[in-house]
Amino acid sequence: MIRPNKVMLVSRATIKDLVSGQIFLIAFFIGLALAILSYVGVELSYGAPKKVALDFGMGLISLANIVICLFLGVRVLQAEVENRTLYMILSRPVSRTEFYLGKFFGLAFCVLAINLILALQTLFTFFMYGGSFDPLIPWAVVFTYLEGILILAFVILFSIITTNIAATLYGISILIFGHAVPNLLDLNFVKHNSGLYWFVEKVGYIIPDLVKINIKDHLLYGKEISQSYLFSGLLYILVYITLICFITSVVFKRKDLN
Amino acid sequence: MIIFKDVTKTFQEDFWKKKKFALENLSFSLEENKVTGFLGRNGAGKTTSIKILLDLIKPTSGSVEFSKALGKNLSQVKSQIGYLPERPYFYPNLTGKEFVGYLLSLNDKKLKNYQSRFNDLAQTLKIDHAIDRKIRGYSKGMLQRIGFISSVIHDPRLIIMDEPLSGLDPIGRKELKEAIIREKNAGKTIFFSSHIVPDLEEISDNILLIDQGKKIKDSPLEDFYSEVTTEVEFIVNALPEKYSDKFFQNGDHYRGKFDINLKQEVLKEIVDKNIEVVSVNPIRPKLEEISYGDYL
Repeated sequence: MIRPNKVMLVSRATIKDLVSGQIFLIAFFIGLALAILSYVGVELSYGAPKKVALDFGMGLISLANIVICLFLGVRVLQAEVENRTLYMILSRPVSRTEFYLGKFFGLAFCVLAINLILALQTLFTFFMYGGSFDPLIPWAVVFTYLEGILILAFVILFSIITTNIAATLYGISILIFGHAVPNLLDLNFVKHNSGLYWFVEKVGYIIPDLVKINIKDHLLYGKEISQSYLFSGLLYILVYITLICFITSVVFKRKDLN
Repeated sequence: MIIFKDVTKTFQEDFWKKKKFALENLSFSLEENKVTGFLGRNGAGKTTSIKILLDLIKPTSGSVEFSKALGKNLSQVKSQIGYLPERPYFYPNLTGKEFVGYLLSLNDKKLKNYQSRFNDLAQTLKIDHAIDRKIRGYSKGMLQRIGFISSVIHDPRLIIMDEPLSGLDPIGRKELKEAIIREKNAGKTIFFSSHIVPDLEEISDNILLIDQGKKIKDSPLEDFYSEVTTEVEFIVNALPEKYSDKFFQNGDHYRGKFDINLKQEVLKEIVDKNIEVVSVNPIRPKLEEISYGDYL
């Protein structure tokens, strides 16, 4: 049985450690760099400064998000084992699942805070160039955040079963395949090769479909998108994250902590 | 308090390589209110045993049984355990006080006098000046001290320590040993591993000696000595004539070594001759000589 108070305690300590480690100061500088890049990008563009500001902003949030999630995810459990803090914690009445979830939620909270800082900076630039509020903006921010969290969940899972470098590479691969595989099915070359089509289709069942939650084009070009599509995308990604967390906790529970 | 029953642990570096035994049918038990020193060379299997005890790794076969007094389930048992790993390191961005508070909060046991207990321990271990500093600035000795505090802060019944004194300077070793003895005097059961024999000799009631994952010896410290005590030394004030060739003068006294089996006979002769006995001492080799010499 998972005890929420234990999960909360581990989360709180994780957040405290990250905050004391000045992660938000790093986030602020990333945001500042993002604002400068957006400004430069907008100034160099011709005719559509609002669109460029938003495009640059959302793209850079996505990039920063992935880098932060890869960096935090790959170290979170490994560092605990290397530093033997994990042994001290797990020798207390805390289950491995509670510990893992505590760490995961603590990191997810910090990533959320960073995302909000970056999103506010992006919106500031966007509104500065005369942009107006679009209901899809919050959706795009939420999906960008959840994409990072999914990668975070994957990287933690990989870090338990392999080395840090391999875990990072696998995490990046998931991100690339998650965006590429659904689009591959639309290629004529794949469509006309039944064996390949079958293979890509099956891979698509395993690899998360990140195109489903990429709504940046809809936001930038004002394409129509239904509420049901947005909610189904949200449900899809949340279920996927939960599944990965479940697999990770099962693997972590069985792992020898040498 | 704890029974370690026929525990075997095998490791396999790669799937095509042969399995190696880290522990082989290791059995021992920990007595309540006693200090058990866990002795063995590096790689003997001490840390593996401790990790199995704490459920950090699973044994290939065998089991660990906890006494009902510790609790009904693993969670309750863990509330009664304090553990200090070898060369501990903690969250670098938290202060010593925050880290100890965090570990304490994970325990189900609630202590009313936590603050005063923490302050007492910090003062005793001479780390009170650094408890509000971030751990990243701590020296090795300070880490060991804060680690010790966090392992005993919740007043556990069983304290398990893996090489708690290694890498400390002489003053640090002395202070930590004193702290361990204080816990021993408070009635705690202590199980601590070391490959440094004099440390164990000073603190332990029982010695568990292992090598290559197998138990070599498990007995009270005194029994360790009695088995290998073969001589006895007499210090007397006058020379007993019958054994004049065996005694030599040392200042105002005479000293003589005899086979342990002759102890009563020599003593009777000395007493019969009205010679004052200053002392009768069994001649013991050091534990280091016994363990690494005779057994390993």
